Amino acid sequence: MNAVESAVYVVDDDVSVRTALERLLKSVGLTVQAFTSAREFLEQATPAWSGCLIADVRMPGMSGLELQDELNARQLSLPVIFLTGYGTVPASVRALKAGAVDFLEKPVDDQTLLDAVQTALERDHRSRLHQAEIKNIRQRLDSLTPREYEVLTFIISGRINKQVAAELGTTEKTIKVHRARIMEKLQCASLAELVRLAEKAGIQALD
Amino acid sequence: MTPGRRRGTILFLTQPGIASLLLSLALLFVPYPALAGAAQQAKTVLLLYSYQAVLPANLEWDSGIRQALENTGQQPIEFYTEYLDLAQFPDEAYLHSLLNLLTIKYSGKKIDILIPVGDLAFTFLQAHGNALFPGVPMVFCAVAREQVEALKKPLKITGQISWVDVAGTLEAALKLQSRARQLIVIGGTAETDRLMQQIAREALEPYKGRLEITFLIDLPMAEILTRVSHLPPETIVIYLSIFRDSQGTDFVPRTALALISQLANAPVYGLWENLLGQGMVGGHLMSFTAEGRMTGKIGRRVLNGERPENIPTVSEGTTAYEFDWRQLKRWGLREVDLPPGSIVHFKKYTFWEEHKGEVIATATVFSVLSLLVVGLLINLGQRRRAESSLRQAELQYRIVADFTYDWEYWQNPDGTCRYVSPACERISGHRAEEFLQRPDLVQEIIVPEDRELWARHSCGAFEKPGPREIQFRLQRPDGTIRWIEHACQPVTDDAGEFIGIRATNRDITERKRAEMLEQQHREQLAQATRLATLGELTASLAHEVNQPLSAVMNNAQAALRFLHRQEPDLEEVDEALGDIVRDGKRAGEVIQRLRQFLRPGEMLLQAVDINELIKETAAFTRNEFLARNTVIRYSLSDGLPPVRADRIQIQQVVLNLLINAQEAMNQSEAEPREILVQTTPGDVGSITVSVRDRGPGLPSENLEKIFKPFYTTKAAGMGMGLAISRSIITSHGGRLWAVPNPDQGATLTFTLPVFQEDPR
Repeated sequence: MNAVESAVYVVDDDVSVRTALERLLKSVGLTVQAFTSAREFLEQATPAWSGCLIADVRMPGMSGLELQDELNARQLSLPVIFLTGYGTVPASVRALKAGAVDFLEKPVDDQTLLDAVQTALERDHRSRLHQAEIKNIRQRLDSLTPREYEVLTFIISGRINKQVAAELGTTEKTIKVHRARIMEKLQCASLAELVRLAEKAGIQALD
Repeated sequence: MTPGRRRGTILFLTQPGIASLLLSLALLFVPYPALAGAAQQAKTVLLLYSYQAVLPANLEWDSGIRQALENTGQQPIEFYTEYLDLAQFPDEAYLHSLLNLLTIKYSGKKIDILIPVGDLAFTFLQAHGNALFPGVPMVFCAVAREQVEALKKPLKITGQISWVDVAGTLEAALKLQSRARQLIVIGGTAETDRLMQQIAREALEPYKGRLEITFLIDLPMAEILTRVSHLPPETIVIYLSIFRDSQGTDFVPRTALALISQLANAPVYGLWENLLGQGMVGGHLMSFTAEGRMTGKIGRRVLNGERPENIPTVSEGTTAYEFDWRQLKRWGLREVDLPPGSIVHFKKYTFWEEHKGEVIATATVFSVLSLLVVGLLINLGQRRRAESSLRQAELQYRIVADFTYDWEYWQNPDGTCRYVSPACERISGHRAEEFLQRPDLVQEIIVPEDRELWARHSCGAFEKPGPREIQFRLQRPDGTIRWIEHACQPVTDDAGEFIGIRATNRDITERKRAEMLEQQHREQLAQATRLATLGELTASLAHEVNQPLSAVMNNAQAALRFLHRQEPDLEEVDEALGDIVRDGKRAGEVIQRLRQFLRPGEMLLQAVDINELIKETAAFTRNEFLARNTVIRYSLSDGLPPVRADRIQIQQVVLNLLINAQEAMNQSEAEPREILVQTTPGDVGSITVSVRDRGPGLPSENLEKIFKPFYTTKAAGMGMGLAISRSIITSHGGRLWAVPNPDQGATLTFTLPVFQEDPR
């Protein structure tokens, strides 16, 4: 499987359930890869794997919830859909908090499952696009000098050049030069654009 | 025939019988050539009788001679016999012809020994023997001493000298008739008769003074008969012989005697043994057979090679005192007067004499019986007293029996009833008389389902001693059913003889009802507990059902999608449908198991594989335990015999113990959460199952309190699990107990009896 291809990964220790799920997903043209245990899946999975994961909550060895924890720990960001025979509130809360797309009770209706899968796949897609944008922004931010990054934090906090110059003990003219350099390096045409970018990059504005 | 006679006859018949048998046996073992050789050496004996062939004396001599000669058995003997009949044919012409005949007959024959019998044959051979049979040794028989002594020169002969003891006979007669003064001597006119008279005259010479002796000799038979019938009292008659009377009429001497003794009015005595039975009283009698025997013995010695002149003549051994009992009676003569050693023939024994033994025995028995009668009479008084106390005792026992609350009876070995207590009516609705009249009634009123049980019980009743108990139901005439507890045992008398069966039927209907109610309650409670137990396992069970159901649904939906494609993928549809069928079955099985587990029902004891049952039961917990991170490890012994158990109830116990063990570990931080289930062969006839956890252990102060109802450590628990489990195990005949582990946690152990084909 190459990195760009996305698939639905199914982890269930019950061969009947696993086969049925595989068959159902294939019937709508999805690519499916099935595993008999969480451990087997973890041994093969790489961060490049995209798509979504369907797992049974209760499995011998590593349970579905433990698998989710392990995915997060390894930064294998796949959306997870949990299936359970008999849902309990605490289990589903925990799963959803940990980023599960859905928590479905068996027997699950095909449309419900396929919708969930669709959602998960879209989320993964969006997520991957988002990740890519952040990565791009981060690269641009990395090109800033420490002084420019300092100036940026003042600008996105709404300070005018004069205020910034006063805070930093320099001239307004110097700040203007920095500002132009920042706009150029971050490829922003307006202040609003700059603010949004900073926000995406998670740069905190000053008080 | 009288016993005495019989005895003599048997003796005579038996000896030759044995002898000839021995001879036959001896011959059997003689090889044929030896036999042939012996045949060549066969001795030839020529017997020459003085008289005609049919003379009774001839036959007797002959039999005696042959007996004695043949008795040796050493060599076969060939007999030639000639009846010279010289008394009846004394003329010269006859003699001449006779000589001719004998010459012709024996000229070529080898004769080893000549035996002339009687005086005439003896004198004949003296005259002609040398010419006819030169050099042949002679052994004579029944020849008068005078004849032998009259021989001019000593010859190479020997033999038996005949004598008749007239004096001996007279002496015996005189003893019997001590007052007799008259003696009548009767004889004939033939040569032999004359010879006899000569002998008699000589013998009687000494008695002439004592007795008046009259010889009736030269008389016709008729005259003789007339005379003897008119004899004076106290007369003795001695009959010598009559071959011929004075008129020349020939007689056989025995016929003559018969006539004379029949008509004589006095006892007639004789000289010859063979005439006994012809009417004479008896006397000192000479036996022709004995004469023949004596002669034969001498003849044997001669045949064996002894020279005749070396063998002395014999005259003894031919006479005996013999009498006719009937004649003694006829003349009123007493047996006590007979000479010592007398033989009495034709004796008719009196009842006493013939049945002396029986008479004595009978008399003894009568005496004993009389004593017994006396004893019994004495006893009677005691008995009456004893009977009275016996009646009293019987009354007591009967009251005890008749007033028993239970239905008591005593059955005879033939199946009929000897006694039935009146309580049977209260219990069965039938009166005691009905049971006494109809032995099969008990069997008839037993409900059909229990009849086999009853029959089986009855069949074995005699084989094993000791009491036996069964329970069965019977139907009363009003239709109601009664439970009966039946106990019986074979009864034996003092001698150990089987005399029937004593039995008790107790009405246990009320007890049975209470038992059944209790059982019912226990079952209901057990079922409720099972439901509660399963309630704790809902996650597990839902999973068990949901898994296949879920697969079925997804497969079906997938199949539909494959089917509705532009180009339907039938291969996938086929596979999906196959999986659906399989999973449907799987779901059904889960439901079935659950339903069985929850089914309320009577305890059904059967052979159960405990290992299999444990695995099956553990499957209920699988998912639940997975969620709780608990693992069950097994250490199950191979080859265990099946246990006797109700499958569902034991499943309940196992499940309960597993859940308890798991929950115990939930409460603690024990890691790993592991339950060890172990099966081992227990004591004889049982199997042990233990469930070991690694929880916090047991309350140390009182281990037993965990088995109390409503004891629980769980917030949601009913507290019935262990209480029910214990009652189940106890009702199976096993035990359930708990012990703390040395390191951590507790072990709960139960036992179950091994299944046996027939627990009886």
